[in-house]
Amino acid sequence: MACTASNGSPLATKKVTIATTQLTGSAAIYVARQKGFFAEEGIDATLAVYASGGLAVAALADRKADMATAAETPIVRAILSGKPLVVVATISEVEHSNVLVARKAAGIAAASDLVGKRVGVVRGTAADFFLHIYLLASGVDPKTVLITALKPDEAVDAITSQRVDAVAMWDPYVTTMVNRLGSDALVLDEPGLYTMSWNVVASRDLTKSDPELIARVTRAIAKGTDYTVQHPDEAQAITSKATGIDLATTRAKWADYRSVVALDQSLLLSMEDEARWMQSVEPTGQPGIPNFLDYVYTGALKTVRPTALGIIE
Amino acid sequence: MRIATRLRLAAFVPALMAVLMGVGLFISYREATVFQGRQAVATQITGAVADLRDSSVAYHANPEDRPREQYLIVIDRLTRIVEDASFDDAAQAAHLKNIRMVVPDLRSLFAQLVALNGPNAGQMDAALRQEAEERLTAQLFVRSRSVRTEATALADLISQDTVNGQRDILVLTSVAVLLVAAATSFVLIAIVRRVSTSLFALHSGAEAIGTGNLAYRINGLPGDELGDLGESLNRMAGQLESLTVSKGALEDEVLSRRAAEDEVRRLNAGLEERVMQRTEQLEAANRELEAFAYSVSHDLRAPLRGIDGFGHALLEDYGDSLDDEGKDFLRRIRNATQHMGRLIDDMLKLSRLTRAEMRCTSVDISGLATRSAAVLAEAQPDHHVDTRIEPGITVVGDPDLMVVVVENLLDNAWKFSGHNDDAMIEVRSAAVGSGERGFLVRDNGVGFDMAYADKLFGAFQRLHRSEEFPGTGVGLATVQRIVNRHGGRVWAEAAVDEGATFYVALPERVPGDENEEDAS
Repeated sequence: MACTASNGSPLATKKVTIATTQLTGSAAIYVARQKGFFAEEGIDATLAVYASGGLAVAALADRKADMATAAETPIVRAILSGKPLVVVATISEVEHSNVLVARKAAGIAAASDLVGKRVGVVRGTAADFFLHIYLLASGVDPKTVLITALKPDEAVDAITSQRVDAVAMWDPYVTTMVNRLGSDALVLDEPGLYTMSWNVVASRDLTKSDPELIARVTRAIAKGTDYTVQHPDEAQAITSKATGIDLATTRAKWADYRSVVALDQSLLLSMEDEARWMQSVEPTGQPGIPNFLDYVYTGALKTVRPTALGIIE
Repeated sequence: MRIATRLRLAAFVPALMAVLMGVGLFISYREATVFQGRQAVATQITGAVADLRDSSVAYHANPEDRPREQYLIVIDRLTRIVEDASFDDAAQAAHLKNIRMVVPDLRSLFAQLVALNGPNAGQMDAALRQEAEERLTAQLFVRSRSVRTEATALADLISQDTVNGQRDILVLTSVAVLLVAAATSFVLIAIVRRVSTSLFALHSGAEAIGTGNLAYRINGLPGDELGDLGESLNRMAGQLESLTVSKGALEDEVLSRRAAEDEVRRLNAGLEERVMQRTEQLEAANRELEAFAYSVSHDLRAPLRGIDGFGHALLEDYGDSLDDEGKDFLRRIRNATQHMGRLIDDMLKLSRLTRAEMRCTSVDISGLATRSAAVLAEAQPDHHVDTRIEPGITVVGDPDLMVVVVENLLDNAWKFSGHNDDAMIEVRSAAVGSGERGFLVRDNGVGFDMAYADKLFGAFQRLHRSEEFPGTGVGLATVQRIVNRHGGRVWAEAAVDEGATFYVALPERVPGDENEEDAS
């Protein structure tokens, strides 16, 4: 399809590498790629797959990618560690994205049984934050739980090899663990306790050097979001294929997925809260938390979809 | 299609337009109602979210019963609203779905917050409880904000949808109206074009026919009213054409007859001229003849008087020398001479009568007859005649000539009734033709044979021997001449020995007489 700028002249194709994780939350990106919305915007997009949003953000920080997708937690972590990142847009909100998978055989039947148990988690991820507030909401002091730091690809093996008694994780690892553990698996979750936001981030430099690129990518993703809303069945099929999660599971978990294109005040609240949590867990030595207004980039949405801006400026 | 039908259709189009506009307005009203309902839902959601935030903030500041109850009331209300609501539009439905997903989170998060302040809270470490409260409150605020954002986005979409819907209705209605207007214009233009084309053809045809091209026919008209008119004009032209052929024949006839009349008039004019010429010739001949007769008569009188005078002298002077036979011869000579003298006198008189100028007036015939009868009775006292004269008989004529007529007729009657001892003469008015006055003179004398009636009025014509009834044979000829000069008629009816009746009929007005006014 021929690409034209708003003034009618052909768009010069720009290459972009987006570091992503195989999550339903990235459905809009998968649909945009599949339906040619990136091409429409003159974007030659390459999706680099990482095991977690944290790794994707790290890739971005290492300039291995131009943009990345991640939950707010690894973004906050990167910001706290001084990475020059900005959130371009939230592209989905996912409930039950992070849960605890426990082994019944370890004597775990409820949250309160986690006291003294080994719980594996990828530190600095949304799962880490979920585990923390899950324990708190369940009246369990997180300090009474033996936290084992894992890498994402270690999680399945850690629980199946009984190196840990439980793992706080996200899909597709959760599904794999549940399948592997079979009847020994116990999924612990607190509905409504935590909703993960899935965001597109970019380096601060890119917002200055090529704001048009960011705007085009955002527009392509916004088209993908709209298409996902309009054609959920097709979007589910595309997402299933992209994530490797079977279609039935994808469809089953689709109800937990909210497709949005926004930059909302709620993101700031989440980031601030998680920053406080991180500071309490691993003090950075910096007093207080950052002003996250400096870490959101509204320029793209102002161009693409100004009504989706809910940030108080 | 008939023009009337087309015009009815054209008139139907505005009605269709009105119906379409009405339908458009109805749909607009119905859509507006739907949009209003959606906006009301959006307003309810945003209102509930605002109440929710106020309540949660109030509870966060002071975790007491009032804000807790209000939060639960609001969350119940919000739950009902989002569960009852439904949107067809996918984007709106997606926002509603997002809100529906978050509302239970709000309820559970708030319930966990409340639990932290509940009876069992004392069992938790204070610092742990505080952190848990902070985390849960933060999640509650994040989620509240999400709901608010979703609600705002939904309201924006609904507002935009409302505007778009109204714009669509306006566009649809406008397009419908434009289409109907275009259809109306198309129909009207088609009608006007068709009518104008037909009218042009009719005009051309009427011009051609009107200027005499009666063979012209108007063709190619459609089967509508103007087509009918064209057919009527064609029929009219056909009839005019046939009438014009008849008229041509009539005109030829008129021309030939007029030529014939002219010929007749020309011939008549020649004939009259010839008649006048002949009349003048005849009148001249008559005048010459009369002058000749008068001259002859006048000139003959002198020798006759000489013969009669010498005869008388011979008898007087030499009568004794003659024997009786000689004397008889001499008397015969004298009688013949005297008779010839009377003939000449009568001829002269007749000649004068025809030449004298007439002056007509009313003439008392009864008086003239009475006087004439008296003269005759006195002259012949031994002849007794019963004279019956009807009084008051008048005619229009010259008095002097009428005297001659009456005297001659009475003298005639008197003479031919002379042998009758019971002689009777009757004079009375006679029934004559219209515009005439007449009288008759009847006697019971010898009468005559009607076989000789044509000789009766000829000059010197006699039906009786002069020895029996003396006379010159000029009297009735004189009567006829006078009556003719008056433009009248005279005729007789008689039978031998049964008397005779003479009729005179004169016009009440004598033609050409300058005194006819006096006669009336």
